[in-house]
Amino acid sequence: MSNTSENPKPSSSSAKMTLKTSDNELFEVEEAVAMKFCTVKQYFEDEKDSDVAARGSTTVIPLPNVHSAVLATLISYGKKLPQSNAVADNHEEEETKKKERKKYEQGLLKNLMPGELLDLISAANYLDFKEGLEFFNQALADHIQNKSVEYVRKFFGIKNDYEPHEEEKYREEYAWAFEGVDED
Amino acid sequence: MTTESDTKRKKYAEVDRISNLPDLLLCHILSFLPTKQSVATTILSTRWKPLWTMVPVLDFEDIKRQNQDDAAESNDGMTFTHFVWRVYALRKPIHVKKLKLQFHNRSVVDPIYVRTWISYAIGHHLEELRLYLLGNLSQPVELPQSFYNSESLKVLRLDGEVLLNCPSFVHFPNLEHLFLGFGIKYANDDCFRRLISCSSHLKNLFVFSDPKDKNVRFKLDINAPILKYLFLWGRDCQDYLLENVTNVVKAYVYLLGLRHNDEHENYGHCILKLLRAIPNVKTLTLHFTKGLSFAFTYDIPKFNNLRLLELRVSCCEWQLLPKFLESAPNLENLFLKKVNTEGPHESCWTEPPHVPKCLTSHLQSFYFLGFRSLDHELELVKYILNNAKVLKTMGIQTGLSDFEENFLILKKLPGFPRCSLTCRLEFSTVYSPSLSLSLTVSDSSQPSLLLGSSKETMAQYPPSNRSPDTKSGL
Repeated sequence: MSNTSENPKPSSSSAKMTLKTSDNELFEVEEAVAMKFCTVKQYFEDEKDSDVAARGSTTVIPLPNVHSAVLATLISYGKKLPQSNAVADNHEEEETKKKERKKYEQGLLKNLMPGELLDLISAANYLDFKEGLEFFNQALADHIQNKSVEYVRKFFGIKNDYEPHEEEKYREEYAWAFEGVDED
Repeated sequence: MTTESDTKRKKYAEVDRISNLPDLLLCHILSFLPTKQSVATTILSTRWKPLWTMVPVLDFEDIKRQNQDDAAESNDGMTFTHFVWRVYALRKPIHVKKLKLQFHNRSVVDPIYVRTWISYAIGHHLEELRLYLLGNLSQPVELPQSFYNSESLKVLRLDGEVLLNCPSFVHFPNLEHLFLGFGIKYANDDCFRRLISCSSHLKNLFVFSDPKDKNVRFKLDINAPILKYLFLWGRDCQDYLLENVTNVVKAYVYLLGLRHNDEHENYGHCILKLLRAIPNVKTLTLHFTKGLSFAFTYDIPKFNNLRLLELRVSCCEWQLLPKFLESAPNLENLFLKKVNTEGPHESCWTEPPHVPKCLTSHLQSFYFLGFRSLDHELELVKYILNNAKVLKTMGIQTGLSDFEENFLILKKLPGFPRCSLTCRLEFSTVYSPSLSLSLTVSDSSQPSLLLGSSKETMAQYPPSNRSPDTKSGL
């Protein structure tokens, strides 16, 4: 996925774009996938408007807030999504793709540390990658689904800066919210 | 609580990074949690205090968790309702994108409260409404009148004790997805028709009805020109009138012939009429009861776009099968699921007069579930194998638990002549789905048998040296 050539070949079959990460790695990505990152899409469209001659040449889009490892994952996730310009597949191909994607998603989440998940979320937010945000935010929510407040604090390293009597007051006011959570 | 040595725990964060994410992002994360839990985050730290009030999703479920205190049972009904009111009172007056209410027969909730909760959401740009109201309401919840003019509503799912009382003017300009589950009540005969016809953007429609429900006796008219996905389950087929639904590409039909138990022809005609209304369907699942085959002595419509057909048969009256094959020239995938094997076996499989076009040029996969190696089943399988020129996969799944019986079938199958040399045979039994066997025919027409479960690697047995048209065992 990582392509460090300085001059990517212009592709005649599908347009490609080059993205440059914070650690100066270059990624050559198909336009259809890159357009799912709305920030990139916006940048590309601005470039198009400003300089018509620049189209088709090697425009490198800088992404100073995204590290290469993170971008690699987001691109590979973007590739697995149904493409808007794809030809309609027959049923079997559709089902196979769906199964593949589910398997990929499960594999991806299984080995992901919370810190890495947060990196992906931040990056997806910066790139305005809606499908990525839906998926990774859901995954993060699943981590803390029905867990106690103490667990969540520990899990994310959140420091409790409430006065004890304040916290007690809120626990009373919203008592129903604290009932029946999973044991830690 | 937890100890450091608890190995199943993931590593805890040392640095709190999540609190540095912007408000909007955190609210988006919280929107995936039930409101009960997103409110609880208020005490994580002072940074988190106001976030739950800005979450555009309200998701309330009145359910007893495993370790909830039984002693609190008697007060709990009030507590749940109080909680919901508090949330409504304290949240910021922002949009409610989604409202979900689930009642599981746990506490008593006043239906008027529920109406108010829904009204509020409608008035705040509601896009998705899901109600699962199963039990413990003194009467069904009648949806507020403002509901019927909701400009923003895109998804509606109703299950249980809900009463639809449509006014004469109903307007859902953005409703795309409509799911009407079990137990929904309609105040008058025209309700359903109005609901559907006033949703000009309706793409997906699911209608579930309990066949034993004696209350509903009126027709359900479906007039939806943009509809793509139609799912009808459980009523008498004569209750439905489909018009202007020619854009449906995926359909699931399981309808009964309740009222005319002796007049199978009526039932058959009825289903046929429904099918005529969806000629452009690409994927079709039909689950029908006894007697449908009588309908197919008449013309059945052509389904030129039909790629995938799934037929669930309750008995072995298969006269319709050759007709379907003939009417779907571009059929690529065929699934046949047998639910039981009662009925007169004589009127089962009969070969069509000419080989259907889909067999000679399009059919790529054929799956037979519930196989019991009865004569007519074997005849059908042989016919398909013999005539399907581009068949890639034939899948047989038996409904037999006995190993010997399964093995006998397995020995027979590779012996059947096949037209497509690249056809792969998949064999499994419903009692052991992880055990699957795959058989391929190589170019030299010498079948080789691969055995193994999906988890183990395939071990190749010595190839047998018989030609495909002998029927001796391996």
